[in-house]
Amino acid sequence: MSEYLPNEAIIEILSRLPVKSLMRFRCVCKTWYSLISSPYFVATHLNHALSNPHLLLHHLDYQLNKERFTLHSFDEPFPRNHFTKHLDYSSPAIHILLLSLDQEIEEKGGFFAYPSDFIELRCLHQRVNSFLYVVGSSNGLLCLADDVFGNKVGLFVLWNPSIQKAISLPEPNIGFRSYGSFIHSLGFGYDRKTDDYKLVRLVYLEGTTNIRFNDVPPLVEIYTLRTGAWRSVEAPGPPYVIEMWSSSVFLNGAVHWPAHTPRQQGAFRNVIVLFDMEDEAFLEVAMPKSLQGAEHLNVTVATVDGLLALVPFNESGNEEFHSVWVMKEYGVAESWTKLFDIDIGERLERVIGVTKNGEVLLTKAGKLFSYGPSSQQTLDLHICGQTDSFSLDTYVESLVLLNITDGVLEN
Amino acid sequence: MSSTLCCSFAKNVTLRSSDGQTFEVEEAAAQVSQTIKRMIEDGCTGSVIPVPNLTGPVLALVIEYFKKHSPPSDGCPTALLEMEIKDWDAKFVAVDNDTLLDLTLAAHYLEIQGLLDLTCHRVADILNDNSVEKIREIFHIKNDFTPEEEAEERSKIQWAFE
Repeated sequence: MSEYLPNEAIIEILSRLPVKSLMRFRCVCKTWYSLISSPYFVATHLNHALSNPHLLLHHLDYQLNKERFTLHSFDEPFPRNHFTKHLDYSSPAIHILLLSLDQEIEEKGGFFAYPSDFIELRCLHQRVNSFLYVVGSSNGLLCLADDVFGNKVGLFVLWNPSIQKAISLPEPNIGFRSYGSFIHSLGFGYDRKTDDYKLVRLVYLEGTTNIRFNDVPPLVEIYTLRTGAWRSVEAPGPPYVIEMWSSSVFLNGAVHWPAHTPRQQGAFRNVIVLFDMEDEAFLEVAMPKSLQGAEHLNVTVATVDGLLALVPFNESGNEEFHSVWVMKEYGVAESWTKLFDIDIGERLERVIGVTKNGEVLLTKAGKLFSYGPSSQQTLDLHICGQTDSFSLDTYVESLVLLNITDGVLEN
Repeated sequence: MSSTLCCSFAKNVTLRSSDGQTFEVEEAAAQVSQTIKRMIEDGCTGSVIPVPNLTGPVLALVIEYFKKHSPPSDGCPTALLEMEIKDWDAKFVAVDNDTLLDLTLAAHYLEIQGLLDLTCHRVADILNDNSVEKIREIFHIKNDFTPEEEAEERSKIQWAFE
């Protein structure tokens, strides 16, 4: 037996392990401790982990008043009808069991599934405000906003569930005390060039026109994990309004939001505003022609199989339905293509996202449903939650945040 | 062997292990190793290629791997062949821990990416659910933490031990 494996070979082996084992194996010896903690290993491990993504579903189970973060398979259909999946109905004992389970579910309220279907992440952050919302997820790092609707500054948290570590960010520079009422839009992502995680914040002040929070450009500030501080962004803010609680996606190194020209201006137009995390500059991408002029367009941005997507809610006459559009060639406005309409015959609340196998997750009356665009069938997923709290992100296990020592909430 | 015959057969190279055992193998097969490939290309393979990091038994195993993974002489590998190789690979690394680590080391030194992926994956599978003590045993690692240091570190990440 060779007494000694070189570090390169150890790294090759360890970078294939789940994070929980790695945290444990730091106790093997001092060499392994520093090796696993090294930025080089964190990056090597992340490269392996990126080929094994999960879906992360967040929702507020309002019956239990509990924030739930659950991991689901990236490729498999979303787990549905947990009873029929796992229980043998032909067994006579099953009906008694079902009755007792039903009661248990009722007592617990809301969300119920078999543990084998998902992994629940223990959230370290205790919500203090009325709303916890996932700003974004990048390389296994989640950015949460614990915010209040209105004019107070919220709390921002960076959380890596795999290493059970969270840090709370310092208070932003642009706050109510110095600037008065405002609304803000947020975007979270990774800057590959400087290997840094950034949270960008666009702040719209109350303004002087008779339409509130409609003055452009907004004030812009950015938090970077490496500096641990907020600073203002040099580039001018975009000449567009992004609505409060607007959706955002991080794609191709940039955050994307749906936006529109200020309402007091003539020639109203909807666009997609981008913030490039590397260059820290704003850009814009055109929406499909048919959506550009709609004055009260209710639209979310999303990704469908890695493509930038838009999900507008169409209202014309008696027709009310959502559609899914994708930009087949990134940055090319002519490549916007409508994939399908989601017409379920009744009003749905929100489209949460589209999974890799083409399932659409949507909410209706506070419940999560899966919709198959080709079958046009809607399935109850037996997950209840506050409609606005639902979000779907991509998640990977990673060691990011392991070496951050300041501002640790819990470890 | 006469020179005329030599041309109709594939060219062979001789590999010598750290303990002086020699093995003859087709040159094309040996080039599964990037290290050996470079040595052949650089022309430093006069008579015998020394492989000083590997003992005879390990080199013998690696040569088995070479033979199985040498590029087929008649074009593309078929799907059936690929499946067969996959099965063969799985059996190939179903060995005791010490041999597995020796093979990992060999794959590392000889730059055999396929074998490195295969062995590292297998080692990772073995390690995953094991205790810290068992890991030290497998890798023959001496614990250099003081009991106090180790206890403190463990208490910080108790969840990882549950």
